[in-house]
Amino acid sequence: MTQEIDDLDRWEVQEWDIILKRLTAYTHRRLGRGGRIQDAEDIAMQAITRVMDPEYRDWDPAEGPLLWHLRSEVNGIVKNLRRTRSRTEEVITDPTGRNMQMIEHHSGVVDRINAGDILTAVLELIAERHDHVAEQVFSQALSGIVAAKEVATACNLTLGQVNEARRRLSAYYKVVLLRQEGSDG
Amino acid sequence: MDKKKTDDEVLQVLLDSLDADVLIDAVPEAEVDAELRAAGGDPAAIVRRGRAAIDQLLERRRLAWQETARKRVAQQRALISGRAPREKRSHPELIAEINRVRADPAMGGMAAMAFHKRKPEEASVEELEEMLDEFELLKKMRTDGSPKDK
Repeated sequence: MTQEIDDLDRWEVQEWDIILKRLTAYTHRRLGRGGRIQDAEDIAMQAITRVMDPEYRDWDPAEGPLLWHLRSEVNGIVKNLRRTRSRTEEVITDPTGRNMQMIEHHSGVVDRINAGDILTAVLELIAERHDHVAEQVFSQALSGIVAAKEVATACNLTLGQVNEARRRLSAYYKVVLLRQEGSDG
Repeated sequence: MDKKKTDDEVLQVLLDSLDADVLIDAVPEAEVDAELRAAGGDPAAIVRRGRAAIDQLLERRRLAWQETARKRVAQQRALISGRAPREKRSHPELIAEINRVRADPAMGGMAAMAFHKRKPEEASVEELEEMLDEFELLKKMRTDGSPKDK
């Protein structure tokens, strides 16, 4: 019985406020351009509902923080939505039992253009800005090294420098997509 | 592996990784709030709605746990009440029975731990009878496992 009490405790001690905000922001990013924040909030909540359902797939704290477990849950939901996006609407159910309409997301930009073109364009933008640190971080990503700590070690940078460079990389990527969208339209 | 697939994979890994920064302290809470607002969201409302739903989920888990506990107690009571009334035995007979059970390897050493703070001889007849009931229940749980099962 102690195990069940511990089980309740591990859910109650979570910092839910920041988890809700970070997970919603992450989901919004995963939905891509045109993804609605309302959909992101619904998907984030759906992931939490699933993970907290003892009959679904329980979270084992030994396997890592709750947010990382929720991340994979969100990725699964978004992936399924992409698979079924030929349909115009998707119905999901929130924890209170209400049915909520999921409108098809519009992140088709990445699908329509070549990934190689995007990578090249990001690299060109990095060179344009003379952003040497971002270039190092980008090169590591090309080699499959993306964990901030590993990148910092490999490039002899601080974690802060790597995180800042990653944020600039995100911005470069968005600029590339905007340019690509402009040339398409 | 063709080049396009490799580029796709690299891009996917890079984007996954960059997106995930928002899950850690690399992006401070104030910036998360700003990102949500820029996307048209209200951080406070997201938290309010989310907390309300999570409170319901926690309550559901609590009720599920209480239900499981109730079932276990009912199973244990059924085991005890289903047993034939124990024959009245004297204090020395109960001591002998306790010692026999404590030495039983089927009890897995748990019974041997009983009375580790005081001698069985110091216990009353009622205490010894209760202890034998508990040993019996413990033995049933070890052999058929039913009270442990949800």
